[in-house]
Amino acid sequence: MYIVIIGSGRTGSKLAGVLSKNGHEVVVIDKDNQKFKKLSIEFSGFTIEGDALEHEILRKAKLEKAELAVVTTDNDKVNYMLAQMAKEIFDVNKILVRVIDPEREKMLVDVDGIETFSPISLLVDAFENRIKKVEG
Amino acid sequence: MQIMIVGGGKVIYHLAKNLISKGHFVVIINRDLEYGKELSRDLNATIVGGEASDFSVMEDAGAYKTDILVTLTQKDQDNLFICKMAKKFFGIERTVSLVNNPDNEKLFISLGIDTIFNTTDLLSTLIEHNVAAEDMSNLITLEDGRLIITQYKIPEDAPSIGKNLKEIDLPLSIILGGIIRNGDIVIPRGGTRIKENDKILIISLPEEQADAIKILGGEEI
Repeated sequence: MYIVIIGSGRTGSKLAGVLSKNGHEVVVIDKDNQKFKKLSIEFSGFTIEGDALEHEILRKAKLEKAELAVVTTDNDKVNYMLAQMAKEIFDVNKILVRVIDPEREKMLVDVDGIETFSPISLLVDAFENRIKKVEG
Repeated sequence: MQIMIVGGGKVIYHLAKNLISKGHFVVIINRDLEYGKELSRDLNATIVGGEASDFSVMEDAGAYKTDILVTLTQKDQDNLFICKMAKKFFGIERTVSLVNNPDNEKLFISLGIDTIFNTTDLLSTLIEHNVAAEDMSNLITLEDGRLIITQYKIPEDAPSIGKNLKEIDLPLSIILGGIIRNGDIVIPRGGTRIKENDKILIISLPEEQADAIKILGGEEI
């Protein structure tokens, strides 16, 4: 599958390595090329240095050809806009978005084709489930 | 009406003052608390310090009662997020937003932002057209520059001076919206005679603007 990952922070870079290892064709975009140092040796895809909010950069990454886009920058508003751009302008069918402030997750919750993941909500759920097990 | 303004630097002061003088109730949300204090001294408006993209800040600023939201920040992602939040969670009916990057216009429109304006396009149209003829000023462009309203001052040697409008062979798609003559407004009709120094409002497609000016003023642009 052709996958575009926007944001090469800890999450993005790690995911890029894993997906690349699993045989996917992966392109990673980040505006800071130092972030690409985090990519593991398993990563065999391409990197693009540039601000993904510029349409030109997304075109360079051939986002319109992507079957999946993963948006993992460290800013919720940037992520929101990138997800909407991927859907509305580049016609990407499936978009996964990292949400930092769980309260903002509801902005994208009922948008077709966009799925949100909030690390805090996931962690709280995991703790809750674990605690339920302890309670027996 | 209750109008909420987010961002906008020094423009907000004048914008808010203008809206208040027309009887609107204005709420300003600004991140810069010092500037907010300054505004609250000079304006009869409610100033809320904080990040407008926080639900609680919006709520405190009276988003549920707001009729129109205007976002003027330098970041398109902030403008978009705040406008969408206003519509989705606070039921604000009209959203007006600045679009900094012309590439983003399409996205804002497809996501239902009601009115957008793009300073880059506006300024470049103004510059491009204004260097062409000094007697002409573009007042407004509508729908991404597809319709243009121009004010044109009739020069002293214009071929149209002394003629009735019906004698002037203007393409049908060009509309003359009004004539400003010595500070008075003259509504143009077939029998209206054109005089030197008349300022004429021309509503036209951008590509026909030059024709209109050539016919009225004899100038090639």
